[in-house]
Amino acid sequence: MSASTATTVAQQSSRVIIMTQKWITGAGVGVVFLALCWWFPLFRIVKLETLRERSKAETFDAESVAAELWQQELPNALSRAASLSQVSKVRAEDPAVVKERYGRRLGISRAYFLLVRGEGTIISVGHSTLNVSLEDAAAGDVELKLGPVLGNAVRDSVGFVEASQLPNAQQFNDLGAALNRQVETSVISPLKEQAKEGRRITFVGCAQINNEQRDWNPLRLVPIQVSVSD
Amino acid sequence: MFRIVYICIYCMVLGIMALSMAGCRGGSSETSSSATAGADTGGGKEAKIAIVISTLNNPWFVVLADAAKERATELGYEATVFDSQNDTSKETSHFENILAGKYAAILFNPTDADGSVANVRKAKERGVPVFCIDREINASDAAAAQILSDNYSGCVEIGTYFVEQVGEEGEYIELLGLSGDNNTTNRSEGFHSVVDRFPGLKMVAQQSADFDRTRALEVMETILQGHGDIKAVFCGNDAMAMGAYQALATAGKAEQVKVFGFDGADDVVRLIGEGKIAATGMQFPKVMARTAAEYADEWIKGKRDFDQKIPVAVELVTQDNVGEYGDHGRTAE
Repeated sequence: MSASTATTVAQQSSRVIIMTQKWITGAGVGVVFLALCWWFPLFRIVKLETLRERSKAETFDAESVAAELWQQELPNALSRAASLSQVSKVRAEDPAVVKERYGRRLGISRAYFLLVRGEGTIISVGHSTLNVSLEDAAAGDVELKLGPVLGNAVRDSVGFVEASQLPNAQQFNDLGAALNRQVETSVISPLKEQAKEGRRITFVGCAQINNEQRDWNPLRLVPIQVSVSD
Repeated sequence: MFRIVYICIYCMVLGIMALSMAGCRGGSSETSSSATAGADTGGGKEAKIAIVISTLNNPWFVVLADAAKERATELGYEATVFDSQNDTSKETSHFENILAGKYAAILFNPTDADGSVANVRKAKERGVPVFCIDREINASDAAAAQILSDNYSGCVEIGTYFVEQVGEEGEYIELLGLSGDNNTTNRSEGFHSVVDRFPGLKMVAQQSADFDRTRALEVMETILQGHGDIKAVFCGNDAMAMGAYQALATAGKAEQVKVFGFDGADDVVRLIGEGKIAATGMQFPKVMARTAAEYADEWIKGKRDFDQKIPVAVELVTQDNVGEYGDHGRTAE
C-alpha cells in the first residue's frame, strides 16, 4: 500500500466516523423531539360528538334534575296557574295587560309564557293535538298538544330554574328538553289513551306567545296536568 | 440534505422549548397581576371602556362592535375595539393590555367558552367588570353579566319551519360553527331537538366550517360531490349560509336545495326576500351590544345586582315576515 492510498483510506474512515456521529446526534434530537410531541402534543383531534357527550356526562344529569324538580316543584307551579276564563276577560279588555299580569318573560324578548288552567269538553282528537271547547264559552277553544313536546314552553312557564342558576346555556337547554320528555311520559302518554270526543277534561297547560294574532287563535297548550272523565 | 433535515429538527425542538417557556411566563404574569392596582372605576367622562370582539372578519361581529362602541361613546366613555381574530392567545394579550391600560369595564365577545374564562377571572380580580355579549363563558361567577342570544330556542323555531318546508322525509346537510363555542352546540341541539323527531329526515353530512363563509363554500363544494341529492342545508350562522348558497348556485342546485341560516345578516335577509334562502334566526346584535354598554355604565355608577344571564330572544325570519326585519333587527324599531 502506498503512502497516498493510506492517507485516502484514513481520510475516508475519518469522514465515516464524523457522518456516523452526526447521524447519532440527529437521531438523538429526533427521539427527543418525538418524545416531546408524545408527551406534549401540538394538537389533539377529538370528535365533536365525544366532546359533547363528555361535557354532559361530567357536569350535569338533566334527566335526574328534571325528575326531582317535577316531583318537588310541580304542586307550587300548578297552584300559580291562572284561570283561562279570567285571562280571556282581561284580554278582551286589553291584551297588553295579559302580558304584564300573567305573562312570564325570559330576558329581553317580545315573546312571553303563560301558565293557565281550564275545563271543558273534548271536541276532536287528532294525531298530535286535541281540541277542547271551554266551559266558559267566552274563552273560546284551546288546543292541547298530544305529539312531541318541543321548545321551552314548559321550562319557562313553570319557572323551576332560572338561566343564571346554571353554569351555561347548554345545561339550561338540556333541562328544558328533559322536562319536555317528563311531560310526554307522565302527562301526554296517559292522556292519549283517555282522550275521546265528548269526554270532559280539566287541565293545566303552558303556552308560548310569540305573535298576538296567530298564537291565540286557538291558544296552543302543552298540558302538564290533566284529568279526564265521562 | 442531511444538514438541512438536522437544522429543521433542531429549530423545531428550540421552537417547542421557546413556546413552553412563553407558557410559563404567561402563568407567572397572571399571578403577579392580581397584586397590582385596580382599574379606574371612578366613572365620569374620562373613563375608558374596552370592547373585545372574537373576530372582525365576520360582518355580523363588526355590527356588534360598532353598536357597542357607539353606545359607550354616547354615554360619555372613550371606547376602543380589540379584535381577537378567533385566537384565544390574542384575546389574552388584549386583556393584559386592557388591564394595564386602566379601562373601567370590558364589553366582551369571547372566542372560547372555556378558554376565555381565565381572562374574565383575571379582570374580576383586578376589579374590572366584564359584560359578555352574544357568546357565553362556562362560568356563572366570573362575568358581571352575560347578555346572550337564546340560540337554542331560536333554532327550535328554525327546526320547526325546516320540517314544514322540507317535509318529513329527505336528506340534508348541517354546517357547524367553531367547535369551542357554546353557540355552535346550542344551535345544533335546538335544531336537532325538532328535526330528529322525524326519522325520515336523514342528515348525510355534518361538518364544521368555523362560522366562515369561504370555509363553508369549500366544505359545501366537497360535500356536494358525494351527496348530490340533498333537499336542504342547515347552517349555524348566516356567513356559512351565504357560502353554502354560493356553492349550490355554482353547482346549479340553488333552486333544488333549501338553505337555512342563523344570525339575521343583511345579505341573508335580502336573499330571503328574493326567495333564494329559506329562513334565518334574527339575533339582535345591536340590542345586545347597547345593553352591555348600558350595564357597564350602570356598574361604573355603582350598581352591582345584575342577573348573571340575560337571554335575548331570537326571531324566525321567513318570506312571510321578512319585511319586518333589516339592519340587524326589526325595521320598526
